[in-house]
Amino acid sequence: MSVNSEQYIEPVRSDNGRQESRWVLLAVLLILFVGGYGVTTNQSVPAKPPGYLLLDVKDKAVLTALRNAGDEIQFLAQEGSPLPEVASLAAEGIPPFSDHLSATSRHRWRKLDGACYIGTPLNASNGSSVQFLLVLNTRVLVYWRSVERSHKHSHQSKRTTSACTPDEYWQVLHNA
Amino acid sequence: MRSYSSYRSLFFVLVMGLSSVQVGAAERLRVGITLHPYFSYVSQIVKERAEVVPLVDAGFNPHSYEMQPADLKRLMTMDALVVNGIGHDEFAFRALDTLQSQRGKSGGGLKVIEANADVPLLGVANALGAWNPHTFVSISASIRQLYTIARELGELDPENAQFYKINAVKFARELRRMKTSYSARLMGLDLSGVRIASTHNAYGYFLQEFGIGIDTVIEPAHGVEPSVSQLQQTIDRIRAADIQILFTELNMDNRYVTTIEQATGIRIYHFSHMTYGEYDSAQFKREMEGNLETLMQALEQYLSRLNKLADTGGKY
Repeated sequence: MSVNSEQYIEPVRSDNGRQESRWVLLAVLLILFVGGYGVTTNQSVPAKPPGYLLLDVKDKAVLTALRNAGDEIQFLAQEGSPLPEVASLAAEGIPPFSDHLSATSRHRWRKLDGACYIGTPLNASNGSSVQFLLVLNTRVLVYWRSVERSHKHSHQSKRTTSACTPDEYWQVLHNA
Repeated sequence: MRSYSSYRSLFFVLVMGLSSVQVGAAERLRVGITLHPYFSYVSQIVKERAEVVPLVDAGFNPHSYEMQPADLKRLMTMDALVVNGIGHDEFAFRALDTLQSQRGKSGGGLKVIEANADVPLLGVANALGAWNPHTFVSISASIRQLYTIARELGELDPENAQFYKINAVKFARELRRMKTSYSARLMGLDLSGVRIASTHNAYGYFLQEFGIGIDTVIEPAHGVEPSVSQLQQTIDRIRAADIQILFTELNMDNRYVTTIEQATGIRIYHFSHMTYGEYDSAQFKREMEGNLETLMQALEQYLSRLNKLADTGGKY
């Protein structure tokens, strides 16, 4: 009983690395897929930059000065004493209240209801269209708003800015 | 016998007096600071009622400093640490992390005072969520930080709270008077045409308080020279935007600045970065006065050249 070797054919895959290449390719695709999925699902929404960054350089300077003024008023206040008048703040050289003395002054300041200060652009041609509000309670809060925007929407809004209570058109100063 | 008794009483009073002085000294707060301007701020606020301790010895480069074991040891003795906290003293935060890992999240009672917590910060171009940390090269932003530090120290040491606040206001007013005396020189001058470049993004807050913006910043990062192509782009930008003044850092040798000067005719002036030298409570005011003088000179000389050119019918 002998086997005819010429009739027995056994197919053998060529050992040229093709199979390994397939596995490697599959692994690469899998890694790319998992990585891509991970990147797309784990993207954090970038924090919205604070609105004051859009103000011009002079209005940004007013924000800092106003925040400083708020602390200075509180630091020197006697318990139960009323807030100082704008004229006395200007006389003491506290910006932005004293800025009316400078050529770059762009706002007129008033004390409202004895509890806050408001700065309104002197006129449209001087470059600023931003109003500022300094509210002094237990904390010092600085607000600003675009005069144009608040005028445009004022007829739609039933809420009014009752002196020291800022409505929805005011933005409060805080860092991101 | 009476005399012995009175000597004994006198001795008792002296011993009690000395011991109370020692207790007083021991009770003084130890307030750490990370950068030179904060040494000036805190020294002016606390005077002799607290000890101001630099976290790092003088002579370091705040942009690239790595904490040493001795710094960490010093940190452990502090009651409070005043930090810039927005990118100029990252080395301190690495030390705070180490401290917290050893002593728990509270850092063993160490109060970290973020001086910039209430400063309306300026952004950094092309970097979302990053802030310009040079708030100490400015008078208004420094006053903002003085008040934040005074308030926070007052919470830590309520007995001296009012003392700290009053000192902060006094120093703020000194700084403001100094600024007013210089800015009076600009009264009535039209600065709307002035265009400014800066080698390092350190002077934005300072120029902002005079209503002046910076048109271009040259260095990609502090002390990093621009590449040849970046330098060419800068030169093109300066020419296109007609930038007339370049502010660079005092005592820093920037070879490329001369190249820019020769290529564009821009005028160069030097500002102090405020973070070098020995720690000194008067340093901030002294160096800021130098910066004010430099700024006034730069603007006055620009306007003078402009007027001369207008007289001769030339272009700047």
